[in-house]
Amino acid sequence: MSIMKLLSIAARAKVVTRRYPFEPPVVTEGFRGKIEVDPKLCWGCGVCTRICPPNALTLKKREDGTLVLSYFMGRCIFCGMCAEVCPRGAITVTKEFELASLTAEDLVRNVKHDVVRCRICGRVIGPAVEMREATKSVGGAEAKYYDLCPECRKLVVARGIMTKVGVRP
Amino acid sequence: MYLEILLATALAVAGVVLAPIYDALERKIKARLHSRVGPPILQTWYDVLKLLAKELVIPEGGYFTAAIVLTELFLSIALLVSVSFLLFFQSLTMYVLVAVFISALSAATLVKSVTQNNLFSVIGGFREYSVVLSAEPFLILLVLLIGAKGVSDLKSLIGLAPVVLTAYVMTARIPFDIAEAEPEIASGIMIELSGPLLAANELSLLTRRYVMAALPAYLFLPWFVANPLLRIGLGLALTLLTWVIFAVVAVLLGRTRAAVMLKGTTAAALALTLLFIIVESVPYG
Amino acid sequence: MGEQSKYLPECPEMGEVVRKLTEEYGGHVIFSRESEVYVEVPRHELRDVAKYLYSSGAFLKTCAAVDERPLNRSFALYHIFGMDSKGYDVIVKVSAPEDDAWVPSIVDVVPAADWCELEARDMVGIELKGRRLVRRLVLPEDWPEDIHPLRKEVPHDFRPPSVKAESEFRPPERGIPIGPYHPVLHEPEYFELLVEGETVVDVYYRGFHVHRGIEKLGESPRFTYQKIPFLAERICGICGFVHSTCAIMAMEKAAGLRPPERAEFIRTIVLELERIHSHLLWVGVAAHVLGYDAGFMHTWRVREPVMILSELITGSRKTYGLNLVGGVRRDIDKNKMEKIMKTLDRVEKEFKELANLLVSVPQIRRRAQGTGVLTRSEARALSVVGPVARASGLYRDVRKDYPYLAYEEASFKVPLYTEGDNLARVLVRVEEVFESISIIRQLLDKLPGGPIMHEKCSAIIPVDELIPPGKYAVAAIEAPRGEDVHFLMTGEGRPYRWRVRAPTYQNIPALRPMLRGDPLADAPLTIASIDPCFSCTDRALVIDVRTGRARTIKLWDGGVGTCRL
Ligand code: SF4
Ligand code: SF4
Repeated sequence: MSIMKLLSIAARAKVVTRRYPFEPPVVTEGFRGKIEVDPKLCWGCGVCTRICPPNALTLKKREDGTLVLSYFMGRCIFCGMCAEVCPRGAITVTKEFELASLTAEDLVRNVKHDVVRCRICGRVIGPAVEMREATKSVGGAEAKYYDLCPECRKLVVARGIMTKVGVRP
Repeated sequence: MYLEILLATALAVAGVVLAPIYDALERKIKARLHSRVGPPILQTWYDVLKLLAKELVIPEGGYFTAAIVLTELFLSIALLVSVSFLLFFQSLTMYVLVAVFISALSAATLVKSVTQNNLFSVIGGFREYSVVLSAEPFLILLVLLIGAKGVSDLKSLIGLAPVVLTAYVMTARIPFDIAEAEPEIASGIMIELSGPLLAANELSLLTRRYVMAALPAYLFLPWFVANPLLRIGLGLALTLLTWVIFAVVAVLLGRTRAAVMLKGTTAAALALTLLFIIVESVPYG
Repeated sequence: MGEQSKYLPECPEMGEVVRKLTEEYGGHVIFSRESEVYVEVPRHELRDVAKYLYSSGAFLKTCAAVDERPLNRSFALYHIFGMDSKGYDVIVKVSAPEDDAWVPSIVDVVPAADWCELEARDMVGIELKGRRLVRRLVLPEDWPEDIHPLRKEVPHDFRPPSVKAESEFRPPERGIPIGPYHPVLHEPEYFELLVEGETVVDVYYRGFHVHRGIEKLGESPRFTYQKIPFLAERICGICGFVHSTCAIMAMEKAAGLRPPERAEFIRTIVLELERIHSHLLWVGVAAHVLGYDAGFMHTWRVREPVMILSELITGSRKTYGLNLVGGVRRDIDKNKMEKIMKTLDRVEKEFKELANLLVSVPQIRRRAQGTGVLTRSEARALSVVGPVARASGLYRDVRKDYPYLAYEEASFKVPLYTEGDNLARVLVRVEEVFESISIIRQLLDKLPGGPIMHEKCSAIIPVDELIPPGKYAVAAIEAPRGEDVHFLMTGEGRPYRWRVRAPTYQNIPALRPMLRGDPLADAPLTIASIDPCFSCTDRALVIDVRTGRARTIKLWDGGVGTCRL
């Protein structure tokens, strides 16, 4: 009895497994794979690194004065939270998941950003693109102070005002 | 005479080569019934060759286990040769030889399990012992009966039933695989084997399976088919057929509790063997 | 005590219990909400309180030890009693001053407290007065005596030097080892079966090999409330969504916010999808254990569309990443709804046929019937949960007892069997699959409109301001394997204490009565029959010592941390 049932089930089910990896994998339109950061859009603001649950995205300051947004796929849980919060829409979630590799370095993607240093005191103020773009939207008088850190800017502005009103600093 | 010896030997060699192929075929059939693609037809050979290429690890039981595994392989090939000879030589000596090799092979398997110094293996050994006891005596009896009396009547074909039943039990397929029942005792009698030794073990198991698939045909064919070439052709075809049937049956069954199952098997084997004896002792005509 | 008036009108029994605890046992209410009341009692009254509660129908959900020294210079132990039939929890707190850190053991009156008491001792270092067998449960043998990982002064990434184990692990003399690696246990766990012939006469269990310290991690500065759902989801590879939802429910309770209705419906639907895939997975494994691989393969074939569907709805086959505090991240649109309906029809049809086949295979029926029996009274004493309880005639189902999310919107049956054997556990799960299918259909039918995320929450807004420190919450969900409990005590921007009690934690002790007297061949099926999930169980730390007993055979008296079930 059970034998006939099984034969009938097997006959109707046909073959369902595939010859993966010789055939493309089945992923649905809802699937989330690894992410890609568009270096042209990314400002290096670091919002994504703060939301990333396993710290797969990190923002590191390098000795050479660059800021690096580093994505390590080995930690990524493919949650897509980073793409959801990125103010620049720089992150896309791809459908790629076949990430096996012989070296851990293969699993790292870095986006480098130049930084702007304060032209007076030399402190790092922030990623260059972000500063530039932010200044663009502000425009006008502000723009000429964009390469000053907040402290030096205060000083410079104060000095300017004092000079204008004739008080010697 | 020489030609027949040559043919029988060739048949035996073919058996050793074919057994892993039939096994892959069995896996293919199983896969199909599971709705899977299944492995390629040479997969079992690939597996065996891969195992042979690994380093030799002498199991816990020491060299003795290794020796026994090789003895087993030797015995199963010897059994295959002697069974192949049955197709051409129907002297009682030949049948006795087959019977002796069958029981020697079971004995070797038992010794192998207890030399391994592993709990799972020992339990497997005891289980193997009870499986063998439920079928082997009947199979040997049947072989000897056929050898002593010969069969010539169509009604003697009733003897096929107990032969097929006991041969199936001896292949250690589900539900008679309790000696290695993976989920229960983690491969039991094979637990300590790896690499080339596991390959040897695999080959001897498959050769034994080939013998058991061939046995029903080889025991009865010579008495009904005169042409030796036809015998060979039919013998090969029926062996394949029996193997396929065994394969399908194995997919359809689950593993039963040792005690329950063996009682039933023994009873059935006993009843069928007695039936055969009764039928055979009724005078012809 | 002024808070009592808030819930009294709704639930008179709760008022009676609180009156009794406060007036007769000298307790005082420290916190309460709709269906939870937290009462602190003097520690010398704990045993009487436990006896009173357990005998008046409460189950012990678990207990949670908390290092409250930074707050009030004492340790605390919270026993969480669930009044299943009434639908509320009574949480009994006892404190122990830091220089006199003991609480009375209640194991002899509430056997279900066994594991969690030992865990409290291991992890927080509270001594248990009046307990006969005290052993390490969770911590490994080479862990230093005086370091208790859940104490606040221990950093979350602390690695102590290993010390010499008091007693070495010895291989069994007469027992059959099952594990730590074994084909039937797909996770490392150790059972030792003592057999006479082919009959099992006793069982030892040693677990927590895969303890990952997730609770501690959740309290660490690495985590914020909005990240915890993702961590919780990783407690279990099969019912992860249960854990993330349960953790979120606790956080939402603490924040006093309710997600939009649509989000609750979606969570419920995904929870039931998860139950379907989990039960199908289990049925397949059970068939495999019985040597019936055809049943295994076909059950998993039928399960596959559910996995694909989960991926479509959530973005991943497992560890969905769907949940956030305040709602869900993805909506279910018309197109997805249709796909769900279609998949459910297919799964229902095919699984009906398959279930029919499985129970008609004589080998399966013969081996499942009458084996691994757990009686109703054993089940009650151990407060077992889920299908294991329901197969032993114990009517327990969080979905009915403490309705949460959208379960009140669907009508469904809770399958109940009284045999308590392996077959009953199979049948309970098989029937539950069909009930889940029906629940999803009803909910999709009624799916309300509106947003899927609370207006105060989103992926970008940190919810930490919404969850004030010093709040308590207990949340429970009926996971595929039974009741999953999360206890939360809030801190500054992250949990002060987060305790997770997975269903298997409650069910493993029941294996001992189940296995004894059965043939060895059936042991793997019986172990599998509780659908054990060791990763869940091990998220914290524990080992067991049940009421000791001696038998005709010499017992191997295990190393430190080895437990008798
Ligand atoms: S990817 Fe987006 S969020 Fe991350 S640093 Fe770049 S701009 Fe900011
Ligand atoms: S997908 Fe998730 S885990 Fe991966 S980088 Fe983005 S936020 Fe981090």
